[in-house]
Amino acid sequence: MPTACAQYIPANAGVTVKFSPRFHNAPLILEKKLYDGKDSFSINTLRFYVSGIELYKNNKGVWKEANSYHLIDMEEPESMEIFLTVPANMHYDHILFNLGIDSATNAAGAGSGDLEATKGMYWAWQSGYVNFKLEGVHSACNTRKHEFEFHLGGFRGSDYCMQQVLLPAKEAGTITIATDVAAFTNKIDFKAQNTVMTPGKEAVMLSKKAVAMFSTKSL
Amino acid sequence: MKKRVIIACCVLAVVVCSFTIQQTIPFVAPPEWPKPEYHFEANPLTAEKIALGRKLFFDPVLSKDNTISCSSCHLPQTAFTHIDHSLSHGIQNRIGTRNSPALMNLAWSKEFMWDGAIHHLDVQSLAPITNHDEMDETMENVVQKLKAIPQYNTLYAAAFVDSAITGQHTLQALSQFMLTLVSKDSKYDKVMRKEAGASFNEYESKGYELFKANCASCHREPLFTNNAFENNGLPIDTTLNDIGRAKITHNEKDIGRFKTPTLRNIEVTYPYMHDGRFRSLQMVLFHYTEGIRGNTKVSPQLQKGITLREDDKRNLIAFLKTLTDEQFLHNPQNQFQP
Repeated sequence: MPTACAQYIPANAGVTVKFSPRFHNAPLILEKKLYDGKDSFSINTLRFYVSGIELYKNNKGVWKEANSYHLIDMEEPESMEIFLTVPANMHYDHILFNLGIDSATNAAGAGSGDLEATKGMYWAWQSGYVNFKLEGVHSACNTRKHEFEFHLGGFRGSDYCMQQVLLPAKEAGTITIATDVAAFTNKIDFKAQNTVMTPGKEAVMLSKKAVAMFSTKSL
Repeated sequence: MKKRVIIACCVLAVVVCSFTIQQTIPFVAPPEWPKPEYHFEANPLTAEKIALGRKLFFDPVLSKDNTISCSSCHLPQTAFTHIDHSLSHGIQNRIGTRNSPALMNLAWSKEFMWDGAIHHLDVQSLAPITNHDEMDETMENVVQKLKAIPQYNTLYAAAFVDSAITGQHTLQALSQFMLTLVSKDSKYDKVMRKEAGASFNEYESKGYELFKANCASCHREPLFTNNAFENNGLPIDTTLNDIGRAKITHNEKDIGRFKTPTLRNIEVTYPYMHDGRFRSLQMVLFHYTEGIRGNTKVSPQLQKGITLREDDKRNLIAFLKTLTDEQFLHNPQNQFQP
């Protein structure tokens, strides 16, 4: 008789959500030289929060992950897979998640686990979580070492830039969510816009553009 | 019948125990004060967490080169501020951009820092810990350093069920110590509570009337702040270009607005204002009577100006000195304990 309150998950239950970073049709490799027209660039950091994961069927929510906060970090392969304890025979046709951390969680102060301030995704000088970090080098950037840094966050009033992402999802053991960074970088003029590290209109606008990265269409 | 007696005894024991436990938690919310803003239910005070927070507060291990602790800029005997410094200095003589606020009655604040950049006490410590001119550390590194110190392992194990040394636990412990810093026993408080032998003298009484007429709209009793962002007409210091609240809200109207600081213990927290530009209370009053003349951008409460004769100013300062709380300033619970 098990003494710990371990959750019993039958063999055919549970769904793994796998984030698959890509650049166009190829897997994304950090620090690898890429091309944006004539400009050369590379992605050096990709980290973002995924929270509030839910499954939908016929436009109705049918399952919600408890305590749903995950830090996806390209440098930590294990972080890119999230095991959802979905009961067996759960029917769904869409998956919903937040790109970032919701306002209430921001307001609640110091979080634990993936929400720890030690993860480097929390602004100390003007409190709040950084929802999304993309850093790299792009020859069009007129910055020190041609670096670009997008740290998108903000949760007060009109600075709120967390985005909801709703994607079709086939019932399966694994839902693979392609995360095509090119779909985001294509929308950016790196000469004009390369350093966004505070809450505000730019962060909100870029967050909306970032949603385009995610897709569940077969690769 | 026997069962009932046993149950009654258990209930009595629990009641007695809870009173005893309350005695060891040095936090008292005066019943006549507003309700605290801090969500205690998310971080309930315990003696162990407070002790841990106290040790962390006085420990320079939080800084990059292990020289600066919280108490370096927030000294207990001077109401947890850095007196005699207009701007504080952190590690390696780096000078910051603002005057160190006095720490007291933090449970009653919703927003922290002169511009309200921090919305929760639990995350406030991150700001000085990671600021280049203050402690210049990372939270991750702080946790690594603490994990290597046996005494901290013992303290975290005593304080937290999972014994873990994490960023969150460190921040929560610091909050708990800071929450216990309650100043409520000044002469003013004793007069208000009508305690035996407590009364204002003639100058303090007059000063109190002047205070209520001229200052209390922003420096509202009993906290002596309205916890709002006000423009008190300070000309911008072009060596700092500190726009105050506007930095956070991006709203032009907030340029020059700063959080009203408490006046409790004001006698010992000089110099004054967000950049420490006034070394004495006389200079502060001079600003309020002469400095804001004709300034249309000041908060509504200051629009009609303030008139004070010289003896009014002396009386007002006499009253302000009644806000000094010797019990708070010298309470051993608020100080480093080896």
